[in-house]
Amino acid sequence: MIEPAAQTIRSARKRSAWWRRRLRAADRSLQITKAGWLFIAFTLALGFAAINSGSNLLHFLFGTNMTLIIVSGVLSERMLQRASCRVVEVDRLHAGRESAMRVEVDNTSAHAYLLAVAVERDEDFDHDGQGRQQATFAVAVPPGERVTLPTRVWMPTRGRHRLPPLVVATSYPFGLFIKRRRLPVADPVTVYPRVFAVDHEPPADTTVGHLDHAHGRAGRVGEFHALRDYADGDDARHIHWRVSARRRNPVVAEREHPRQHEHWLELQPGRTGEPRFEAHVSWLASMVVANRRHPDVSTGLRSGKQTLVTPGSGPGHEQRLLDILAVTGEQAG
Amino acid sequence: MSLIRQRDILAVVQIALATTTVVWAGGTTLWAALLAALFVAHAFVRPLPAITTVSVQRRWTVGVGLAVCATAYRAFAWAQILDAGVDLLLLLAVQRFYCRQQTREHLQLMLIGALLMTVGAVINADLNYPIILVAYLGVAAMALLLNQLIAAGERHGATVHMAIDRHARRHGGVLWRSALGVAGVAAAGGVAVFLFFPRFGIGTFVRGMQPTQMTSGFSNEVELGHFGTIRNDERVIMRVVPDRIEPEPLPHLPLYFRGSSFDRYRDGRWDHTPSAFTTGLVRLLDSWAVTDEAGVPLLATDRSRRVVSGLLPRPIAGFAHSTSSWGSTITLEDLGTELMFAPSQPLAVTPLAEGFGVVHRLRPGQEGQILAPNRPAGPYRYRTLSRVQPPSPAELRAVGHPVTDNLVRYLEVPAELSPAFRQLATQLTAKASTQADKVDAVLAHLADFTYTVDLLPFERPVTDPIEGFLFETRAGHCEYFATAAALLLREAGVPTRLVNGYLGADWNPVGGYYGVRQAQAHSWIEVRFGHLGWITVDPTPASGRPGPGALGTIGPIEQWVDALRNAYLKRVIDFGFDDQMDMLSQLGFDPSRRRGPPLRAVVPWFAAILAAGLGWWTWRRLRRQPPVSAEVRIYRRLLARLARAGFPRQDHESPTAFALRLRAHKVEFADSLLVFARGYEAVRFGSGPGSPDRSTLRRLARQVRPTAR
Repeated sequence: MIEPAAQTIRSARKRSAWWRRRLRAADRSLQITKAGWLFIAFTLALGFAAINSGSNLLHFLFGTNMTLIIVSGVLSERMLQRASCRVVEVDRLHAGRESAMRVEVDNTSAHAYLLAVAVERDEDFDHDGQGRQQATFAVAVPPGERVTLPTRVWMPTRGRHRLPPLVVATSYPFGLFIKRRRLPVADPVTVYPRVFAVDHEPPADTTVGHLDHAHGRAGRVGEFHALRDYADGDDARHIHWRVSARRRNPVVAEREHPRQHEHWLELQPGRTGEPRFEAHVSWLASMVVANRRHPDVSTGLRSGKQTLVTPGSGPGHEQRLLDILAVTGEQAG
Repeated sequence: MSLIRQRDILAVVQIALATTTVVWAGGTTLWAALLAALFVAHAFVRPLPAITTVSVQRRWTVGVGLAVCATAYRAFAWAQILDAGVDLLLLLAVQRFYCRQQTREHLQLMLIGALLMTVGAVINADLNYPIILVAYLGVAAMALLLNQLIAAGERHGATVHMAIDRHARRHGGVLWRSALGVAGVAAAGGVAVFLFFPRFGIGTFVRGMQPTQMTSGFSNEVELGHFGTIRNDERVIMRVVPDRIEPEPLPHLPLYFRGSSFDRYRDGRWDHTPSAFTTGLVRLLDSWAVTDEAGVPLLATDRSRRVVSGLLPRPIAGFAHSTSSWGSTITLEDLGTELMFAPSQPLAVTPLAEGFGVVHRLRPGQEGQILAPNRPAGPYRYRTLSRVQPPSPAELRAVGHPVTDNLVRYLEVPAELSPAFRQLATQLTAKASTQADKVDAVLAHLADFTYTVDLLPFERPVTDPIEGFLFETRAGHCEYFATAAALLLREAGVPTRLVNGYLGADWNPVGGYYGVRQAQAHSWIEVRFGHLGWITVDPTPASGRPGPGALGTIGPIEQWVDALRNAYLKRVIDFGFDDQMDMLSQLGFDPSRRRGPPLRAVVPWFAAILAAGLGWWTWRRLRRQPPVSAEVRIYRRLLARLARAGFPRQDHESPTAFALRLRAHKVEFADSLLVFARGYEAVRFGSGPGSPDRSTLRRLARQVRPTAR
């Protein structure tokens, strides 16, 4: 049973939250630009002159200016309502480095253009220690269509983070006011460790009789060695279809393959955010990325005696390593 | 064409349009506008520098300062408030065109254009204003739209700016449609305010502060021969709407519209005898009634001078049509004169108290003239009631030879006139038995003369131009005919005076009114027929009198244009509170049933609240410190800490220079200070991503640990 006092407090909190939501006008903010202030002052002066003089033409100009102010507010609101924005990753997001992203701006109106909207960082949000995103601008989006705008994002630290809070803003039509609407906060993204160029050359010897399991394009790496009958467990991608058809029996092609050189990366224990640990993780990530250039190198990751990732190569393997490095480390506190 | 170039061109066009409205209304000289145009053209031709240097800014500041001083001097010393203000605005526009690198300058250009359009609204009551205004709204809307796109580019950096430029050029049509749509909606709002916003005009600003051009012939003194030269001007200067319009209106109305009148002729010019007034004006109801020499209104009133059953002419014995009258509403263009024109014998004039160009007070002029002192510049409207039917010839003859004892000045003839002139007058009227016969005899003599506006110099020296007309050329225009008739009749003992005005009006079927053109200017005389009063007599032969206007191929177009202009004056310029009330009544609202205090009483309170709000806002604005960013606060705190420790920064030193100086002096914390300084400069002036954030900067500042020396 809920105590009456607690119930009262709870309902008061609900009311307060309701009012806060209303006063924030559905995550919108309005900024009057310098041009806007100038225009308002001019309109007031014009209104004073019109009322003072009784001049019909001044009344007309006054009415025109007043209407422009109202229309500016209405149109900017309409633009924000029409705009639906979504940020899409293009590149892998590494800490401390600008990465390419895409902003998809949809015009939800079936009849009217979406004009002059910007997707920019939320100035009301404290960006210290957070990432930054380059603003992007759509001049005109036809009714019911989508435009894709390039942007770049910079995140300071690795881990699972939310992207910087964004707003969709417009000063349409005349730049008298800038109206902004907060975009819904997207799911956290993985920010991979900072990477830099490392000087690492593995030994270059080769061996034979290996199927290229790790490579995405099966059987296309290395010189042709021999054909043999298909055995259970062989990758179907290695079947030589033309010969199999001639022999009426599945046959796989064996190729010479560079010998896989195992490269173990040692992850030292440490705490997230600690400069030395972060530098260490950054170096490991850089090694993982550098090994991409050498398909004969199998990269493994271990921490002390514990194997975190068994050696392997290829993009999927690299992704697994970076995923672990992105979130590794003890959390502070 | 790049977005910036498009915006530049639109900025020029909007300023040009706004300037045109002002120049058209005489707000500034054409030369000033052309000079400004020349400089603007130069500003466009020359390559625009990336930035305006400080020295250039200073030169412009000095120039504008001097211009402001000159403007103030012109405004106060020469009372050229409007001209000086417009010239200053043109100078400011030129200055902004020379320094138009940023969107801010373009906004100022838009403001200057708006101010010029506002000045135009005050002084330009012509039909060209709404036409130009329509174009201006469209151009200004597009210029503002492009400017805000460029501003967004400036705000978000070069990459975004290039993208905006590329996309805006691709979607130019969409942007134009959008801008024109907004301008259309804004104009509709302006029309709504125009129609429904109640008028409270207290008249601090009067329409048309600029001097207007005086039309020759309507000043206090007229030199013989000058009045006829305006006969080539086909401009409509007066529009007359009769109170009763016939189902089949006459295409040409042969009415004499009386304007100026003169009693004294000497040295080839007509003027007034000082302090000699013949008529007066008295207020009756809303009208100003004309009185006779005794001060009695020409309208029928009772003993208390109250109007008897409306405005009706006073009956005159022996004048059958003396009680018939003709009423009309006249829209008079600005002729640069205070004279009000009224048909034939004016009985009453009613200034129409609506709209902007209202005449509040009338004044009687000499010789029956009606004047509107302090009349507004531009057209204004009034109603007239006149006696237009003259007495019949029999009624005139019945007057015989009236007594002329009190009319000596109307009988004066210059002494310089030759005996031949006097002999001619005597000869012409020798057989006349009545005053009317004398008039007929003189008119018959002049009927053989030739009407021409091409005046040739007299071959023989003459004592007065009228003698050359009578005895040598026997050709001239209406002024010569009227003056000759007036002097010959005076010599024969008939009191006369000269009248200048307009003869005839042409029906405009489009507008539903009679238009009087400048070319219908005319001179005639008035002859005093005893108790019948002053009777209009036209000595000019019928062939020389202004007739119906010749409608060429563009005649119907001219009628349309003139009708449009008349409608504009009536429905827009003179749209007033009464019109609003009428409109509301037609819409089903009855303003007479309104309860509570009138809105007029609320205005002072509203103004006081507004002024208080503005004052509070200004006070808050002045008190508010400019916002300081977080990194600057960190830097200032560090500087204060260093100064306390005995390491003050010199004013000219940048953060890095300060740190390098300390390192040169081998100060122990100089290296950490240098790290902070570079970080600070990266945050404050850097390119954003990649530079340290504020928390890092705060940490770097903490690492600078000065020891007091």
